[in-house]
Amino acid sequence: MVTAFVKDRNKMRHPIILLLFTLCLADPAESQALRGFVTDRNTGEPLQGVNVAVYGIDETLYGAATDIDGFYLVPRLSVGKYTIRTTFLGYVTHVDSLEMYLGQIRQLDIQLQEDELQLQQLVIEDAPEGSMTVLAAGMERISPAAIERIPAPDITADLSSYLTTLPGVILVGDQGGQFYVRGGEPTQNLVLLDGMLIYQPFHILSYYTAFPSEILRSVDLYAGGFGPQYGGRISSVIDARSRNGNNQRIAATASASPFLVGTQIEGPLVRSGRFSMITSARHSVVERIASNLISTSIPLNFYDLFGKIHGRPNENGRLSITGIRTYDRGRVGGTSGVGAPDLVRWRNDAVGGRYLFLPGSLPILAEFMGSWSNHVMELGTEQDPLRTSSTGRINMEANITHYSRRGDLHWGLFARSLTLKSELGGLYQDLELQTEYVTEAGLYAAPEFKISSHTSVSPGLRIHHFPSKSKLLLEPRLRAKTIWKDTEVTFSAGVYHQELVGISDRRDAASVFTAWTAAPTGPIPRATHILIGFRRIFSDGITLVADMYAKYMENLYIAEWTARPRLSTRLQPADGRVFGVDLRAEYQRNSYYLSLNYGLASVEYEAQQSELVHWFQETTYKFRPAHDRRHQLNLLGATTLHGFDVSFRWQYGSGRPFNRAYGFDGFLLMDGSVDVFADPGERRVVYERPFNGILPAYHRLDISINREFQVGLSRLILQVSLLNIYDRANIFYLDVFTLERSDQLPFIPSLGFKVNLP
Amino acid sequence: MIRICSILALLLLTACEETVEVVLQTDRAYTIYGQLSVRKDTQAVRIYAIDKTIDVVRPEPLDARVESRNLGTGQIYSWRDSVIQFDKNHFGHVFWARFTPEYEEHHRLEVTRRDGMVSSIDLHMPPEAIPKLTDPLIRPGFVYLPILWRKAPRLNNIRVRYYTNKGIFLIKYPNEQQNVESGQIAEIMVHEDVRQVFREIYQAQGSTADARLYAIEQVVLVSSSDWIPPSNQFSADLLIEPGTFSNVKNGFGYVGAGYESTFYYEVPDSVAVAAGFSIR
Repeated sequence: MVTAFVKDRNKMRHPIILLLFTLCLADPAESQALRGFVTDRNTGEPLQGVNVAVYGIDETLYGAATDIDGFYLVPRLSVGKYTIRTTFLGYVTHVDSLEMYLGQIRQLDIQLQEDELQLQQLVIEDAPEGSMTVLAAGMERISPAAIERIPAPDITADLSSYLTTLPGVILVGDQGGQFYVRGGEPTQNLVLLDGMLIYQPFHILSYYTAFPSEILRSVDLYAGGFGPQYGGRISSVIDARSRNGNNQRIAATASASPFLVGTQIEGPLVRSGRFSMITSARHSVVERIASNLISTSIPLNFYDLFGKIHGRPNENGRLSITGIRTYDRGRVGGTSGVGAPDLVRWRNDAVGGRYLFLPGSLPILAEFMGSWSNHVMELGTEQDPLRTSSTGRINMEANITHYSRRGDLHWGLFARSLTLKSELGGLYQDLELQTEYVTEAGLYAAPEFKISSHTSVSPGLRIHHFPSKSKLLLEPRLRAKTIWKDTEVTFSAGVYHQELVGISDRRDAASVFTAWTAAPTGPIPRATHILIGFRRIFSDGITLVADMYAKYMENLYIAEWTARPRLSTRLQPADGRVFGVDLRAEYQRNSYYLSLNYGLASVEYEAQQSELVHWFQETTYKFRPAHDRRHQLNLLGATTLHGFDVSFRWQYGSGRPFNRAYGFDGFLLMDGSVDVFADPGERRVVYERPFNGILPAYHRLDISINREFQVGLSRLILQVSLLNIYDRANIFYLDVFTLERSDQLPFIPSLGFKVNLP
Repeated sequence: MIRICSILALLLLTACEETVEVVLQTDRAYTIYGQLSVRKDTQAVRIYAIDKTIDVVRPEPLDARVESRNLGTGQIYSWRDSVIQFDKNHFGHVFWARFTPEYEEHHRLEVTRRDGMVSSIDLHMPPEAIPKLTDPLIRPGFVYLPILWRKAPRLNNIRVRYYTNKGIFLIKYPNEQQNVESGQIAEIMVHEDVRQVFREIYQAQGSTADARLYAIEQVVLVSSSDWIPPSNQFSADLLIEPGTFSNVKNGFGYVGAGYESTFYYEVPDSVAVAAGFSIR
């Protein structure tokens, strides 16, 4: 039946037909199914990637692996007796047996016990799969263990530090929280925390994401080629999932460093362990402590609050409610005139609910999510902001997975309502005050076909409708994977649109203020991604990864080229193309970990502007934007020496383009009416060709050393970290108008501690 | 050990701060704006040095020596600096000289820096243009007055004034003109202009009744033939890019040669009526 479908798939032009067809595949009358959740016995946390093997009496093997919620489903079992063997590295293998009856969909929740002996062996000899790189055609699953390995200024590891080790990810500086993924702009990244959209996912001190990594269970980064369940952005997706909190006992941590103090509490809400909670609070102290430590003003202040409740209201459902607030304030980057850097503030607020539902008679998993996200950004003083922008979003969605032996079907529906407000004082396309309401609705389907035990193909389609703008967008997607001669080869491609765009003045790359609006001049930004990845794991602990990608972007909105000094900008259309390859070699054996990442990338924009033909004798101009870092290298190492956990990282990034000038003069419009005695004219920049200069290369060495002590029932972890050890003066921002350069943070020694209770 | 020391030494070396050349050297010295006119006894140009920072222009004397030479007679004029204060921290340097060029003369203006760098402009004064009404089209609701500016190489800043019993109204025209062998023809579309005139009268007085038209005056800047911007549009967004519209050698900006001239037309009753005005 599946084969027939594959042969005739070209005839199936409507996704509804495809959905109905696959629903027929999952007719419950045809077979029995086994399903359930696998969790850690000590914490109640779901375990992802657990192998659930189901053996029939005739030794026939069926199997499934758990997803991010620890959920598994083995479909189409025959009536009869089975032995279930659940295995996961670092845990005691769980064996159970049961009998399946006609038409039965049976739920078997499994709790795995950590295997202390095996864990010790793992530390000595190898690491679990979960801490190794999982990378496939632009997709990378980041585990907390991988994040913890990266030297960070703080005792608590942060996703931000990990992201900067990835060759395709560029943070233009350690301030501002702007990150670029494989040629895309910061506003083209979709960042989700438990399904809630986080508009500004980094703190103003870019060492920190808006949410602490300690609350994270897993992060999926799609640097491109993401599937149809994601949409509305054209560059990348970061899909972070938080932990549920320990449902067996109360646990707490407190940490402090010259940058940040934080605390986290988790535990069961009721004695039965059916409900648990996790909360976290962090507040920066960088302005008071780190500034004094290095005798350099770091005028940055931020905090974040996170809370989540998770529970099992019934056997067939899992409910979680999550909330987050972040706040940032500081002076970053350039100025709106001559004087101190711009004072910028922003706030993220988000609340979301998620309900996982297992229908009693269908072998499917249904996920229902609702969330509200709000983002406010202001530039200027609190009393009299120069510009403000606020964005609110209400999101409702349902994601359904049908399981079948030859492949699963993922499909879903979504509806959203957005409110966009901005006061821009005439800047940005001459917009003054603007309020927009946008509604979105759509659906997607992504069947996954297991062609053979080595090969799977997942074509997909996303239909995105904007009723308020009468626009319908079709986005075909494709992901495929095969194993060829011990090498995993993955391919992904897709078409992406972004109706809501963040507009900012990117001429200097350090500008932080962003206003969100519907595509301001009509055409919707669109991107086409093509990626192919190779991954090979050798038996001696070496993993080699190569990921090649191309992105073609159309209808981008970039700041119009003008000789007027900054921010008097309007938008102009542009197209972009990105080519690159990321190479990675990892070695992990005994207690040694070594990783070498190299990225080669080329980003080129081609802008259209009616004046160009008179300025440059061309109808378009091509240039490398400010985030085009051609070469990136990261060397990362970690080991344990005499009880000390030592890790280091050396980063190198080739210089980014910037605008050079010949000088500054004035401008009078010589239309015959000018009185040179009375007309003040305006200042003007005599630029070289756009982005023709190259800044110096960026490089830095960081080291951190941790030591853990047992103090009664508590664990105390002390950390010494040395950031930018050789005090490299890396340029963050170069003010072409005043010739002032602003460097990234200098050498910073830091001592931090963390206490885990009990 | 040697290897480790080498690596450390390399790292320390790389810690040095690299300088960045943000503002490049240029062989262009000045940016100059202004106009030489045969109808004025004092000529003036605004001069900007091409600075290394964007700080507003200071009142200190500009490092510039300005001279102009009549290329026909060889006479040299020295220009003097005057500092104009536009606001608290904003100054402008206007250089001026007392002389009046003649029609069709050639002048060269040179601005010299202390280090010998020179920016210069060659100017060709336009001839005296004589305006004349040619072949008007007049019928009820349609009044078209083409004005031939004989010997004018180019017209800029074209405006039309309407003298009425309700006031004087100015209509600005685009720089559209018809280039003919004997000069330039600039048209007056009276039937289109009166809509704006009546609108302004109505807004000011609440009624257009009894509005009478006495005269029409076309005002133009008779210019040298090179005073034409790209696309024939004086758009600041277009012309602000340095070098887009410039006649300054080794510099930026534009200095024009031209003078303002007018054509005055006393409107006969028949024309006023055709345009929609009253005559009593």
